[in-house]
Amino acid sequence: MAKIVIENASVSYFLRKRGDVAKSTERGAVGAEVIIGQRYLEITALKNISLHLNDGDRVGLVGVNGSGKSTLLKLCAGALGVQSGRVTVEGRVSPQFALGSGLKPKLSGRQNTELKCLYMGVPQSSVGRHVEDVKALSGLGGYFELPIHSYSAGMRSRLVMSLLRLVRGEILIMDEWINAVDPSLSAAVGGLQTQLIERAKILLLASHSQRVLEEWVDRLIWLDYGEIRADGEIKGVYREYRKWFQTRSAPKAVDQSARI
Amino acid sequence: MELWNRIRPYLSSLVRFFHISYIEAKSEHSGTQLGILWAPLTSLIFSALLALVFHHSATMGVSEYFIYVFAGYALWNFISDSITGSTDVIQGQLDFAVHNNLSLIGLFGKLLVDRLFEYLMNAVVLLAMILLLRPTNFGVGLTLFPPFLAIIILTSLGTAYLVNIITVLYPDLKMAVKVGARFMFFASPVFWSASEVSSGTRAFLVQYNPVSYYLSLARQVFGVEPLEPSAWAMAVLVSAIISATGYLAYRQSQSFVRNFK
Repeated sequence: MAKIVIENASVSYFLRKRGDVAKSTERGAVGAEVIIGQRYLEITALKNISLHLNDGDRVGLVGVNGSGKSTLLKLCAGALGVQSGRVTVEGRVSPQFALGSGLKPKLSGRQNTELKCLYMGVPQSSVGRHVEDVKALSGLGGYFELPIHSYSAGMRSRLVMSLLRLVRGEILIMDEWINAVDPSLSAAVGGLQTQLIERAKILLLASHSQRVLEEWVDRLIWLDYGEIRADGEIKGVYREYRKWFQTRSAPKAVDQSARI
Repeated sequence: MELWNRIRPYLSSLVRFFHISYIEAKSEHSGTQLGILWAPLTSLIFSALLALVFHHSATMGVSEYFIYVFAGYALWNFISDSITGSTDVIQGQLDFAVHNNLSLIGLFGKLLVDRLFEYLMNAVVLLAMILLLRPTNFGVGLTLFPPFLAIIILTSLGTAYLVNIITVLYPDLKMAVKVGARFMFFASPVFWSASEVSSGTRAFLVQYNPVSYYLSLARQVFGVEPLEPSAWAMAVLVSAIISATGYLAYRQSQSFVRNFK
């Protein structure tokens, strides 16, 4: 059984002070407030979040840039700690934050696949067979033997998608990249993503795309300035979020670039 | 049988991590004829050069001195990597680790296995050299290899975490750590004989530099130096202090340090 229990969790990022720190406190259209501490700049990205996820939950996260979506995903994946509150995660977590994360650019597709097999717990006796499977599935041919920093974006996408076959996670955490699939990928490779999502006991997915969210999740959490503004059935929450988004003042709605 | 079933998953993970270290070490020398053999070969060549240039001992011949230097230099590499290779672990590698099912502790464990892999490669070459040049060195000391490994593993883990947290909090110390490690190389009896100094700066360093005790242990295990219980006691004490401090630092800082950008 997999579960995620977050109780009154607050998460802050800490940054060293650089240059004129007073300028850092200027509020923009997005992102949490930057506080000047005694030694560091502090950004409280999540404030008193409580969340219970159990087997079968398919949950989406929505919110403007800097609202805390990625922070919440990283918190569940163990990449961040809490400053107050409590987080309990039971089950194997498989984070998929960005295309190519967890790969070594200097190593070849083959070496990266071998490493991924070993990290993912594939029995050592069957690593060779899995590597050949990934090679065939990716369709990379000779490029599979070259360092992945020499790959085009499409080639990298092929390799990453093919590696999904090796991912074993009860809790799947995805950040946006679900749309990053090369359109030329075969149905078999594209289908791996579907299998991965369907196999997961819990899905936590951050996306700005209504289509993607409606396809994969049935519950939506709207985050704003690090707090849960709404949590419920997808259609209702998304409608509320869109309405709010459109009524924001124009300059604020345009600036989507800054992220925590 | 029950005990075997309990330890089997840990052994399996250990073998898996060593396999990962092997692939990564091999890739660092890809394109060369000797490949991964360059790792122990560079230590071997450097030790031979140190032994030739700095041979000053009246009691040891050149071959014996070479074994003395190599046994010390192999462990020195492990110590040095534990210090200088740990300045940016959490900020630089945690994201990669999380994507590969590794926790914060798992990441430090993986990097420890990398260091052990390199040390064990050097240890195998050292054993071959002893067999070739000083076969009489083989003795009861080798039975102390497992406790010796346990001591250096605990010390390395504690040191790695402490170095990481200190350099995160005080970035200027990154350079100080690098310079300090270089200084420690000369201040430790890696290529000068500890047993032949009785006074002056070197005697002070042998007595008060903790690295000298670890180097002595490595040499005792391989029969290069006679067994000396006081060196083991001192190394155990230093290891206990470093690993306990590292553990406390981890407990206190692990929430904060992961969020430091």
